[in-house]
Amino acid sequence: MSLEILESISSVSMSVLEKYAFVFADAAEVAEAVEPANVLLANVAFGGAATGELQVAMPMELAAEIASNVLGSDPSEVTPLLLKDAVGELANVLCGNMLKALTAPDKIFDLQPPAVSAASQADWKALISSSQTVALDCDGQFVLLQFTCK
Amino acid sequence: MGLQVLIVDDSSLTRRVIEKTLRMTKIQIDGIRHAANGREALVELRSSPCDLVFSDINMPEMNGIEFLDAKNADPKLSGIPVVVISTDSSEGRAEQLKARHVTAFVGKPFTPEMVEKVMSNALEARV
Amino acid sequence: MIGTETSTRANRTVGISEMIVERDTDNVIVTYSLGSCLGVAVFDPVARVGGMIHCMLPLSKIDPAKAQAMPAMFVDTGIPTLLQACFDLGADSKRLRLSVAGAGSPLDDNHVFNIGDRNLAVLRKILWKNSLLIAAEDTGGSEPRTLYLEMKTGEVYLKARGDRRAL
Repeated sequence: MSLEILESISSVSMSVLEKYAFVFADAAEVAEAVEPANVLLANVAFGGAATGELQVAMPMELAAEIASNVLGSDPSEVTPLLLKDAVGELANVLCGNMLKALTAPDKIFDLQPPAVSAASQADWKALISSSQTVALDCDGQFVLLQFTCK
Repeated sequence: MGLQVLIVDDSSLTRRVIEKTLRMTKIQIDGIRHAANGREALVELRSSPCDLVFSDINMPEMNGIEFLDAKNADPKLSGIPVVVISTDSSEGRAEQLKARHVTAFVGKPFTPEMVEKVMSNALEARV
Repeated sequence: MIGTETSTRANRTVGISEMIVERDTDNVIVTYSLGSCLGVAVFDPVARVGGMIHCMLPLSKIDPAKAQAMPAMFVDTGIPTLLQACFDLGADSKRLRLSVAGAGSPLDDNHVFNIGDRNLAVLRKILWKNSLLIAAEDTGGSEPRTLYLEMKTGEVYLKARGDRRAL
């Protein structure tokens, strides 16, 4: 994947995080992304005009902030189910916007429902060791994104 | 008399967000029901009257396109306006939805003002 | 860009990092030269309470002491202060009409932090949490804007590059 595409993934993600989740993100070096204690991993697969998937990993703490912001509610009202739903829905919105930015406008894709789980140390390591991963710094909390499209 | 609205999305968080948005508008709404996919939406529409539907596209069991086809094929339901709110907002998808007589198409992320506007337009078109 | 047009009759000026809230007046409130800064005008036609703010930066965490002294400098402290001042004078959130201008990317800006976009994002976050909709918005782009609120009528308009338009 070219540097241009990685930069595009990064800028689409920053824009979605800001507009959808009211979270400000800055581009970061993947190597800087120290592993947080609890990480949620969301995966959105797609088919149609092309096949691929988006993986998004983020600390639980950031996921909770995003859920509360998206719902416009107090953090205490965010249940574990809503928190998981928020990360999955964010991955879904990110994936849809990346496809829109990176592919021809007439192409139609079918996005699968997001799968969200607790990430293992191995998942985080695999993401940071890949040259295809994009890292974002949200006020000291890192988000890792990997988008693949065939 | 206020409106009866159905929100169709597999994400309970998104259904809550759309419901909060609808309650923020000045439009009088009497009832908001939820469905998690197209199949559930058809059951809801056949069980009691509905003035307006907000639907996602990518959903398990029955997606938004299949839902629109089934709804449009049923003479009792075909007249109910549908606003599609989806992350999938390509021109290709917009054409596909236009062919299915969708009232409006809103891409995610959306603002509450965008939803209010399409809702007002949909209701004006109905009168 | 500071205008002295007699036709606008503005007699109350909101400076940068300032706000004005008042009830039952015939004043014309104005704020000049909104570039990346955020201007918000609010008006409740029943309580006849209105106000305006001119915020510079999105988040107060960069200088909490300044935010304490001048809450209107930051969007995250300024907007709640503006709304509370309106409610204290009898405004009702259901009747409050919010007009938003500015939050642009002036050409002389270095674009590093996208201050205009972030100002708008913080405003949207606060309004969403408080279930408030924006009634009118003229944001983004590179043209500086001057925002007016006529307290007598609640009319809000702006001037940009010499053109007057309703908001």
